[in-house]
Amino acid sequence: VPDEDELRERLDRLRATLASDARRTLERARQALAADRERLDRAPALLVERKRGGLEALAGRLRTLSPRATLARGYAIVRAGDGRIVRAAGPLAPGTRVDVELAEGGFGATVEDVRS
Amino acid sequence: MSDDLGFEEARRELERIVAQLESGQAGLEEAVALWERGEELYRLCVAKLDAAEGKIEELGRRAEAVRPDA
Repeated sequence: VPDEDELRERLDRLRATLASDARRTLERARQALAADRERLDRAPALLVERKRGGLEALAGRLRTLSPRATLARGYAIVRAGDGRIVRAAGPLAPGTRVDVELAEGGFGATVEDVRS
Repeated sequence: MSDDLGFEEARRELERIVAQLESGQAGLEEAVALWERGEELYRLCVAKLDAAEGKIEELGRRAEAVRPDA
């Protein structure tokens, strides 16, 4: 039968091990929580960044498709009196006022000779 | 034109507009109108992202202030 002193010693050692294990477990839990905290803090800003990136890509496609891109290449948009865009010269009568829109600004003009 | 669209809704509409323009089927008038609406939606989306970012930064600052550890 082990004597009382031996038993006390074993008990003390077990207590010490339990205490240090508990501290280590607590420390690991704190670190895991800190890591989660960091990810939580970063997540919203990262989400916004991602959404911004996607939006910019979409806007890029929009801009290459815009009629403004066509204007930038030197084309003009010609509008008749009622504001409708003119595609065919045939129906235009000499003396008709038209509006010419360029990439930058525009001007009014009067139709002179017409080609078809 | 309603501007009380949520961000995702506005973005979806913008995607539809881009798809329409890319299909090449829109006439010039329609394309101009679509493009203008597209630009409007883009501006709306950017404004919402900026607002969200501002709120996130504000919440982050407030959280920092009350946190017990550094």
